[in-house]
Amino acid sequence: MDKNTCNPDTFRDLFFQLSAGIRRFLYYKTGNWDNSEDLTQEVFLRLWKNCKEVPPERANSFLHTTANHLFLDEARHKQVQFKFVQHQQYAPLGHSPAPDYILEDRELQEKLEAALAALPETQRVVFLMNRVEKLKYHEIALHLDISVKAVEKRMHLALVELKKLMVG
Amino acid sequence: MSNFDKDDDTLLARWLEGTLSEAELKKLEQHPDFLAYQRIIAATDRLTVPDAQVSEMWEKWEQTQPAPPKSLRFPLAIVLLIAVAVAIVAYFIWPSKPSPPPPAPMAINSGIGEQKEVILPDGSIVRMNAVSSIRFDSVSWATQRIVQLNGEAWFDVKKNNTPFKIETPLGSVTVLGTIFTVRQRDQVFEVACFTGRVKTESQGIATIVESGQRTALQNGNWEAPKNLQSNDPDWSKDESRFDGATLRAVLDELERYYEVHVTIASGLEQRVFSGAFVHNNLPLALRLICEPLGLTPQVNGKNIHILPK
Repeated sequence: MDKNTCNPDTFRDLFFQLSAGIRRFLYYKTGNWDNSEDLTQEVFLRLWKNCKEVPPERANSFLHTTANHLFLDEARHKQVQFKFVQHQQYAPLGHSPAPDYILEDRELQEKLEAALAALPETQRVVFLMNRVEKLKYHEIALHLDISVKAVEKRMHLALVELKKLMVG
Repeated sequence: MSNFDKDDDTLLARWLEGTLSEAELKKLEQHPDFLAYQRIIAATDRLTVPDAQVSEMWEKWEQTQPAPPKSLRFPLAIVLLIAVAVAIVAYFIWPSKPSPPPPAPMAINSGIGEQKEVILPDGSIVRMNAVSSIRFDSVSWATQRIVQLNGEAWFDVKKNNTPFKIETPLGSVTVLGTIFTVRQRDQVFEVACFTGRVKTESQGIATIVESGQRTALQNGNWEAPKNLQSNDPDWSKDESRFDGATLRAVLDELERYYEVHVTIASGLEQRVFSGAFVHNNLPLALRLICEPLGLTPQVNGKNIHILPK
């Protein structure tokens, strides 16, 4: 029963369980999907190097903390640009959505993506972890090492800010 | 109009979580922006992140990562033995071969009460505080600017494309900009940045210190950077300043400026001191430390004993 992060099989399991979440977290942070892959590798390398000190049950927390502190140089900051997958239209069977509805929808998403890119990083990360990752406030607080109250404030501000950016 | 009351700075967060009171909800529903908020949330909840392609990431990981550290366990003992052997041999050989000028690495030490200024190969300046040492390799300097530091020093780093890194036993500092101090004594690791910005790192955890800020390592984590109180490191102005340091740490610092040995009456070691002492006047320095704490120094030649008044 050697559940040890240094064990190659355990590490592989952790990679498969957690790397997607870490990559998305880094994406929310940097707004650069390609870059988020390199950074994910970097974060897992830190876990590997510290595998003796980090038991598997603490790996996710360690990965988030490391990712959160990971130094992101200014060049990376400047490339904040979101491109989410264009979502599927859900229409009742036999009906296709009205073309103007699709258009409005696409425009809304583009506006939203631009606004997200303009949002301060701290607010954006909290907002997307809650809305897209579906994490609870207390889980986000744990990952970012801040209080639940701080998460709620960022969440509130993010929405106020997005509205300002999108509607004025 | 779209402003919220000051107490309501988490209102929208609690709305999304569904924990608003009925009264709060009613108030929010009448807010002029409520509809806009609903639309934004609806749009956000339809966002889909690209697929993370975990299998491909794992393939890349396997190609680039070294063998498991597990295999190191046995050789580690041997590596340690070799390291110790090399250290012992080096200890005996080093002083017996003074003739050829050592090209690299350079090692420079400062003694008690001594400050030294060193100009590095690229023109960067290191001003070392008392009882500190630095090492650097002037041959590889062009490709990697690495200074190993034990103690405390002030740096003015020339800008160029090679990162400037200071390694200490507790962690490292990478310079992105320019003037700062690094202080590593026993378990204390502090970085203050005066202009530009620096990146500090310990055990894989990094933080950025902006101009006019300082940070310190606390139980393996970096404190949130705080604003500096003045624009110069204290010891370059001939005084040492403390903010909530233990008496023992303050007196250790005193011993670095004056050739004295200071002992403390039992129970006083952990007393907390905030203030400063001067570097050029021992009786005054002792008064500055002792008086605010209601203590008195007993001076006996080079030995000083601190006890309650």
